[in-house]
Amino acid sequence: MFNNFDVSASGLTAQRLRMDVIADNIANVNTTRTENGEPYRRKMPVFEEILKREINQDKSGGVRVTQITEDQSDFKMVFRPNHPDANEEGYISMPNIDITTEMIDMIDASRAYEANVTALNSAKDMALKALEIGRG
Amino acid sequence: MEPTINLLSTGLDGSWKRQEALANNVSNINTPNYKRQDVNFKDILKKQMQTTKKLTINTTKKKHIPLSNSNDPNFKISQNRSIKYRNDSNNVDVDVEMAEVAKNNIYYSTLINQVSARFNMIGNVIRKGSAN
Repeated sequence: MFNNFDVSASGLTAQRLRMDVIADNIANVNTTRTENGEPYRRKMPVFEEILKREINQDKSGGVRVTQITEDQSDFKMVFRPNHPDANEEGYISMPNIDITTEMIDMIDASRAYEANVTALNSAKDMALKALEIGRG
Repeated sequence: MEPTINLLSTGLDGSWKRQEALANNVSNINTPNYKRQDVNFKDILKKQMQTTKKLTINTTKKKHIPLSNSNDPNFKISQNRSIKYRNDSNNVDVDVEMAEVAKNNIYYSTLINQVSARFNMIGNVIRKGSAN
């Protein structure tokens, strides 16, 4: 009965996590030092559908984030000879983050979140309506 | 119980199940290779409508097979693999889903009103039409 709500809630969780990852990317747009010595790499969440095994068929159970991968594309080389991390030629590698892409992803995540809220509200309306059977 | 209420409740179950499929579509809007799901419960309703119109059979012996009124409809979730218009092979269109969610919500409310009206009718008969 309440699987309906869980499905929408999983969507909300996933989109919120995606938003967190995007915020992390934007915050680290100029980070040249991380634990492994490299500049910051762009992070991406990987979504996967949840399937619940049931007697007759696989039942839909929403979505989950299986892992957060790193974008393996090349770092951006910027000429900044005074920077302490610059190489002999005066270039430093900057994170492979494109701020425009992040902004677009952010709008996408926010709209997807709203869509999940709409679906959740609709299910809630239906459930409340069902409680009105036999009243009045 | 009353066949009409049975039928309406099957419709309600189907509509609820459909809402679940639609919610799953919306939540998987960014999942690569996900295919849109839907519940076609109207065929099951049609089938049930045909069976409820038939006469019932009295079973006088244990081995008689009762006429099933399909009290346990099994709503199947179907996947639409035909359409593809995104690079990640996901075919969920958020506008379509929102429209379907709204439609399904109204459909559900309508059925609820119908069920309530039915129960009111029965109540009226029980009270012989008087107010209390």
